[in-house]
Amino acid sequence: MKLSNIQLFWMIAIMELGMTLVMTTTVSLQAAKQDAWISVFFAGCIALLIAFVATRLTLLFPDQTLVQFSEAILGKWIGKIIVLIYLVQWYTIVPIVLRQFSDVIEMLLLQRTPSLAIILLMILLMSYVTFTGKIEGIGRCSEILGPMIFLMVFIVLFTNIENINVKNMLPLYVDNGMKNIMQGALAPASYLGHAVEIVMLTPFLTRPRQAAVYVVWGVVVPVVIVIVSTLMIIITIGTDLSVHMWYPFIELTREIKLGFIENWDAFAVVIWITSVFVKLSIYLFITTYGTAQFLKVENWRNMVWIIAPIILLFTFVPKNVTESTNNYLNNYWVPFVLPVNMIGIPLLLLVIGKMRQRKARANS
Amino acid sequence: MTGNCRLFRGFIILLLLCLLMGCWDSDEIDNLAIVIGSGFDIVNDGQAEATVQIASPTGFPSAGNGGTEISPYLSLSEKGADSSEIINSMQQQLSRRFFLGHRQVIIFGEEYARHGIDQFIDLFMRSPDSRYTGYVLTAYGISAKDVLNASYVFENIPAIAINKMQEEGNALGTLVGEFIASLASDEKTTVTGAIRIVETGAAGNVYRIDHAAVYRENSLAGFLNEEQMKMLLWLKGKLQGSMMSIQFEPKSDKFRGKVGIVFFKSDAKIDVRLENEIPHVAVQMKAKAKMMNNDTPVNMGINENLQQLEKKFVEKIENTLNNILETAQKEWKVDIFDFAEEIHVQHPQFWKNTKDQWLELYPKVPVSFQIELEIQNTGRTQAPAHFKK
Repeated sequence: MKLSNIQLFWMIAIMELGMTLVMTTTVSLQAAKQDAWISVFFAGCIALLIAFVATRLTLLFPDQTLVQFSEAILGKWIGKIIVLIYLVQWYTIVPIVLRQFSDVIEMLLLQRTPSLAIILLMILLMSYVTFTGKIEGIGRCSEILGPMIFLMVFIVLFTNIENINVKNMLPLYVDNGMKNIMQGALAPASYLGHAVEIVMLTPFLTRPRQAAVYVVWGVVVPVVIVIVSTLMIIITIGTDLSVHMWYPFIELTREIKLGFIENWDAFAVVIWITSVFVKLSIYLFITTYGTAQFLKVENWRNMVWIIAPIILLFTFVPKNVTESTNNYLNNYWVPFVLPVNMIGIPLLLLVIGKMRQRKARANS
Repeated sequence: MTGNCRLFRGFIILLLLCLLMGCWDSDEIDNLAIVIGSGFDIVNDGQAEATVQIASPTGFPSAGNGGTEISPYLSLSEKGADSSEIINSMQQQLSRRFFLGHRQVIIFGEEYARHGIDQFIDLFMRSPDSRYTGYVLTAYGISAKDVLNASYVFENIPAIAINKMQEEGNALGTLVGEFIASLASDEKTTVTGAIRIVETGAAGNVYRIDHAAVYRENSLAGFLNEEQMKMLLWLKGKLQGSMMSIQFEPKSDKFRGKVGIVFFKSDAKIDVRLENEIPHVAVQMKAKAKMMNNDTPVNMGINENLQQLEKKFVEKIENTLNNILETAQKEWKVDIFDFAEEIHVQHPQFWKNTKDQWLELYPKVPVSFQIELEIQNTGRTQAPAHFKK
């Protein structure tokens, strides 16, 4: 079970790119209108901070996961509570992403297919890759799918050049002001902050000490692409319409009219399915591995067969698309996960861990 | 243990076989009623009537079946209060599933447009089938039903003819996406091409798109005629290919005195200057053209003559522009040239304060036009070649 750093780069990049593009743009557009791309820029800065703190943290214990080193840093009981906070995050994000995945597919593509069929397929696929391929399999998948996803995004952006109307992004800043722009930054920041999961992955890296650079690039590259895409949404669809759409990026593919070639939805679907697959597999691995370590289960792989059905059940908890897309994002992910799980706890662990290390060194 | 494993594998394969087929959404092309065009009208009792044109592939005349008598399309009209009601009653008459994914034109009847068009627009954006890339038109003087029920010689399906005419670009064309975006915007005025039917006698009817429909909020304010529509195209930077002619000399026995040009490049810029809290708008319009025909004895190879010609064209254009502005400001109260968008971009702070009173302010805004027209060449000849000295 070994990951190369380049695989880590692709894993983080895909995990951040696909979901941020599709799920968070409406929220920033609603808050910051034509300045939403500036919001994404600030979101990128926050995400970089998260990545920076997380990588520094992993360097303290490069051969342990969060579940192990949180106990090492904060003692047995507080450490366990910290892990519980993350377990809540992992056990809710997987069903929610699955649900969002099936929502998009159902809303745009397969209107009459029962969502169970769509969700079951994805669960089988991600369980399979986690069970047989382990983290190495997921890494290799990302390495292959990553460039494909990037290419698709570039094609969607490039073919839209004809629809550009630059006036849509003007005037800059004056209309919305700093407050709205920062407010629009929160949702994308919370999705771009997924790099924090590196704290569960370092023990599998071949060269964990060199990982920091790859993690940072894994954040910077998607951030740049999301900025360009948001800008593209603003100057092609315009803010009057895009604020009312569920998935403006996917609508972008529908605007394309390249000569007689229309209806490019397939590109968006490829981007969507592949990036959701990679993201879910990584999270399923983290959830399974983390739970196994938490409960001190020897063979973590067998946990997949217990956790996958639990996730499947959770997937049907949200009643409708508003609950799965907006409520979770606005009531849990942005106000809680972003400040606590992504920034607060890693920072706390980093500070205390550093202090302990220094003390230990001083004692010896 | 191995037997167990094999059983499990078999089970997974069976499951995937069921799931991967995607039977629930299988859509064979012969199970779809592909709507090519749709039109909306208002009927006497205030209800709306929708007309759709559905392609019927078996009706296409092909080499094999020679002269089939089946029509290549099916026309359906249905009255109702909203989209779902109408689609529902249409579906009840169809053996195939109602499918909007290939709709190429949407036409609003004039009367319907004057009453307000909100009713059906939501579906254009909400329905997963519906696309942005069709054209929206307004029927000029007739109902949408009449437009869609007219036949057209070149194409099997009339709606396709209308779509191709719009693609061709000689008249104002508004895509569904642009149409909805302009309705949603405070700053953009909604305009569409306006289509009518011209009787040509023996050959039947033909379509003609030579007007533009101007909307105030969600209802039709009025139409622009052909010359006026060209000005709108110019401001949108889409004048290429349009033609224009003027009376250059008085009519004589031998010559009618007309000169015609075709535009090949156009550009427009709107500048807004604030003076005492009143925006002053200066519109700069540039175009390049070449001469198409010269029905005068004048030798256009001489520079003075050409300059004279340019001057006359500019005068005519200025007149047309002032006409439009007069109607738009005084009569329709419609910001037809999208000055609001420019004010918003150029003076955002001012716009923030005046946004709500813009429509009261707009009729009082002074506007000046500055037109530069270059006739770059005169075609292959100087004076008319057939002219005896």
